[in-house]
Order: sequence, then C-alpha cells, then structure tokens
Amino acid sequence: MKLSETNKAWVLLTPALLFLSLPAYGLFSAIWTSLHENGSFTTKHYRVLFQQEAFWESVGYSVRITLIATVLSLLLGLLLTRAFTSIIQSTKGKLSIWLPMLFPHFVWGYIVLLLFEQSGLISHSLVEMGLISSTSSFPIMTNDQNGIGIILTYVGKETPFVVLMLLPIYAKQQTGYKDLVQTLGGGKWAAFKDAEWPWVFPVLLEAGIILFAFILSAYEVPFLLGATFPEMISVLTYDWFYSGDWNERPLAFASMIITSILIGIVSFIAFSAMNRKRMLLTKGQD
Amino acid sequence: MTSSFITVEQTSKSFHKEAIFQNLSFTLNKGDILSIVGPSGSGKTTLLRCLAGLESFSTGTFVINDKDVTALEANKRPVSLVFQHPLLFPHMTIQENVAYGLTFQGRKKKERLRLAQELINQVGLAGYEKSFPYELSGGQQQRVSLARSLAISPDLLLLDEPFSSLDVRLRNEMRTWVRQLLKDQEITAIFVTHDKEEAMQMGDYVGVFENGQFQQIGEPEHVYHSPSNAFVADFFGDHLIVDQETFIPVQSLFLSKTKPKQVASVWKGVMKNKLHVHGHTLYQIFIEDLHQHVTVSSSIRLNTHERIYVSAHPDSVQTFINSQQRNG
Repeated sequence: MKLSETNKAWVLLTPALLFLSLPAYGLFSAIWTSLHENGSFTTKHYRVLFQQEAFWESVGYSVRITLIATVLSLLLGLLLTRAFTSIIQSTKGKLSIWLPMLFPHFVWGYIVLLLFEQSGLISHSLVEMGLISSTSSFPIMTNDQNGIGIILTYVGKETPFVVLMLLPIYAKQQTGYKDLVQTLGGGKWAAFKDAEWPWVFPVLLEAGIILFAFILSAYEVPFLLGATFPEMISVLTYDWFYSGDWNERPLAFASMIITSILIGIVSFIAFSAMNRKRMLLTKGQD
Repeated sequence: MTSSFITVEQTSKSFHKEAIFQNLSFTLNKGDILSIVGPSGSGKTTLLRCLAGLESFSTGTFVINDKDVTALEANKRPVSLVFQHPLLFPHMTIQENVAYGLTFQGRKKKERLRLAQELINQVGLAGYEKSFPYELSGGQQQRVSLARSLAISPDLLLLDEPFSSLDVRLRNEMRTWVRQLLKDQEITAIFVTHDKEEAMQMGDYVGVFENGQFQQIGEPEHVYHSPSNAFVADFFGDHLIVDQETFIPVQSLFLSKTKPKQVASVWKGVMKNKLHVHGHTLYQIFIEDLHQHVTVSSSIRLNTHERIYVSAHPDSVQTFINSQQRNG
C-alpha cells in the first residue's frame, strides 16, 4: 500500500508527537486540576491565586530577573560573537566558549556560589590580598534579594548558547552588504543597522524567547541561589505543591498555567512580529 | 582621453609587500565608459575596490572633477559600485532599496521616494515599487541594483562584473540596455569584466589588464586589430602569435589539405573541433610547432583529428605595437 503525502507526513511526525504527548498530558492535567474542585468546574483557585500578594510579588520578581538575565546574555553573546567570530570558529575557540554548556545548571550555580558568596573564594582571595578587611565587607551576591547570584549563573550559562545561535549568521555573513552601504554613503552605524542587524535580530529574538521561557520557569538555580523572599515563581510553586496544606496544590497548578500563558503570549507576539521579516530574509538568500 | 574628469595617476596597491598593481595611470572624460578586461586574479577587482574607497591606494592620486579624493573614505566619495551580485536588501521593497542611498544625502522622504520612482521608471520596472526582491528575476534585481547606485548621482559609476550571474541571453540584453542607459544619462563609468566580448560591447575604451598593469588601453577596435603585445593578442584578439614580436590576424589564415606552394608561412595542424557561427563553419586547429589553438573559418570539409595545413601570405604578418615602438 502506498502512503499519500499527507499520511506520510503523519507517520514521520509520530515519534515527535508521542514525545510531545508527555508534556501535553502534564499541561492539560494541570489545567484540569486548576479548574476543578471535588469533581466540578470552578475558577476559585485562580481567584484565590490573584488575591495572593506573594504570587504577584513573585511574578514581578521572576519577570525582572528573567528579563535582566536574558538581555545581558543576549548582549554579551552578541558582543562576543561579533568580536571573536574567527577565533570562535577554531576548535580551541569553540571549546573555550562552549565549556560552560557542558555543566548542568545546578553545577554552574554551585560554582557561582563557591566563587561569589560572602565566604567564597573571591572574597577570601581579596582578604588575602589585603584589598578588603574581612569577608563580611564583600558585597552579598548570592541568596540576595536582587537575585545577582541567579543572574550571574544564567548569564554564564546562557551566553555560550547565544553565541552558538549567532555563530552561523556571522560565519556566513556577506561582507558585500557592508561594502555596499559604504559605497552608497552610509557610515559604520548604517552598516550595522542595515547590513547586519536585520539578519541578527530574528535569531537574537528567537534565542531570547527560549531563554525567557527557560529562566522564568526553571527551578534549581533560584532554589540554590535565591533569597527566602521574594521567591521566583518556580520556587513558590514548588513550595505550594509540596506544602503540607493540600489546598495549596491547585494554586501551584494555577500559577504554572499563568506562567505558561505568559510565555505563550510573549512567544506569540515575538514570532508574529518576526515571521514575515524572517521569510523575506530567507528568500533573499536564494 | 586627453581631458580629465577622472584622473588616476601613478597608483599602486600592495598587500603585505606583494604588489597587486603598480604605477597605474589613466584619464576619462565626462560620460566615457572604460572597460577593464583581464583574466581572473589579475587585480582588476582590487583596482575597482580602491577606486570605490573600500581599499586604499598604497601610492598615487585619484582626482574626480578637479577634486582629490584619494584620502576620502568610501562613504564620502562621489563614486558608487554595482557589485557582481545584486545585493538588494531582502527585507526592503524595491522602492526602499532604490531610495536607500539618498537617506545619507539628507533628503526628505518625499523627495527620496520621488527620485526612486523616477529611477524605477527609467530601469523599466514601474509597477514593482512595492514588490520585494525575491519576487523579481535575476536580471530585474540587477536593474534595481543599478538604479540604486545611480540614485545617489555619482560622478563615477563602477561596475564589477554585474552580469556574470545572469544567463547568456539575459546577459546580452542587459549589456545593450545598460550601455544605452549610461550613454543617455552621460554617466562616467568603469566596467570590469573577464569577458572580452562584454568589454568591447560595453566600453568606449578597453583596458586589457594583466599582472597589475594595463597591457594596452584604447578603443576596442584598435586594441582588437592592433594588439600591443603577445598577451593582448592572445587574450583579446583572434590572432595567431608567431613569436614575441609578430602575429597574424586570424582572418588572414587559410586552410588547405595539401601544402600550398609559394607561401612562406605554413604550419602543420590538427583539426580538433568544429563550430557553426552566423552561417559560417569554424574549425579549431591545434598548431603543434607554435603550441597554439587557432579558430579559422573555412569552406573545406574537415573531420576531427584530420591533418591540415594552415598558411598565411607574408604581407599579413604584423608586428606588435610595443615592438614597433622599440624598433622604431
């Protein structure tokens, strides 16, 4: 029996769909639990959730930390790729820039803790060098309310990822466009704005969405390096889920659904804004 | 080429002590088109990049309309360059692409769009203003690229093998069309190519470039019929090069199956290939003694690998211009 093109596509998609069925089941199960109580439909959990000050504080804090870490990673990744494209393309360069990618987030977080906590390696070294009088003079950079430790960990881990995403763009970038801008009267800024940024921006945005979604909802780094208050949304949700009070479990589901919706909205806006431009750029490379 | 709207004087360019070209000088009148033709790697693109300001000359001066532009950066020179590939911004419409350079001249948007529209009309693409580059064919894209370079009203337009990515038929159409456009608008241009036919068709003057030197500059017909040296004769003309001092124009050669008597210049050859062009049969003959291929028109019937005699009347043997000057 010969399969039609449509059927063939479905057969090829099956493994991916089977794999996706796991998170999809989790998501629908969470939606179901967050909208039911004692077997009947209710929006009560959401109403309770929206009245919790801790929830709003956590959302604000999480979005702030996420945005700062994402923007810093993108910026650093862009600067590194621009400056060192040829070096990064060599094996040594690739190894050195992608080394942090080999460590799990938790391990990287632990390294940050060992280095940057008040009684950490850097603080002790500064005392030894006589630059600060005691370790307590070292600024609090881990488990702090500003989330510096969390941001440091994410920037260290995600910058190589941004480089990985941007490298193909810079490696095959046509210098012709920059020459063209110059011969038409444009300076360095115009060359960047018109001959580089249009190709870089969609990739940067895509990397940004991935980082935003990941950092906003990841648990282990804020658990290790976060303060007791405010907590990032993932930590708060985890606390609710495993707290002794069973009434808080639907709240945990509801808050994760809200997080997912937030990520969904951000991704939708970004992709819709970029899709046409990306199509034009892809076609332009024929 | 006596007056000097464009004057290039004693210019050289080296990379890491390796000379790409040396002591180049030439002048152009307003509205002249100079074709620079030479084999790949002869340095002609580097020369064009130096003229555009994308590279700097190591020595020499470059004057446009009495103004020394040698030290000016690319974006300050009244020169624009049409590249081998159209390089249209894929995310901009045709109108935005054509108007692009005008933004750097501080013109208002309304004026930019009006000028762009005029150029779009001139290059025969009215109706495509709002289209995107991917919706246009290769030839149309190259026309937009030309319009974009012309929009900034450059004093000198440089064209770097702009038709090389087009198919043969389109290339022929574009040559005629672009030359006419440049002539109509009295645009001074330098056109680089490795194709001698294209060079002859496009230029008022042809400069044969090799080893970082102009081997000869002159009107296409003159360069074709009176090459200055063996390289020009071989690369640009259809000649049989007898030695470093003399050549025979191909139209003076004739083929025969038996050895002709009373003719001084006779060589043995082997027929390698047969072509039919404009109703004539052309044979590609390999002359072993001179180690040269020559393409000769003849009405006799020959088979591949057939042995043949190639001969010429002694009067038809000519001397290269350089050799004449040396000997004269």
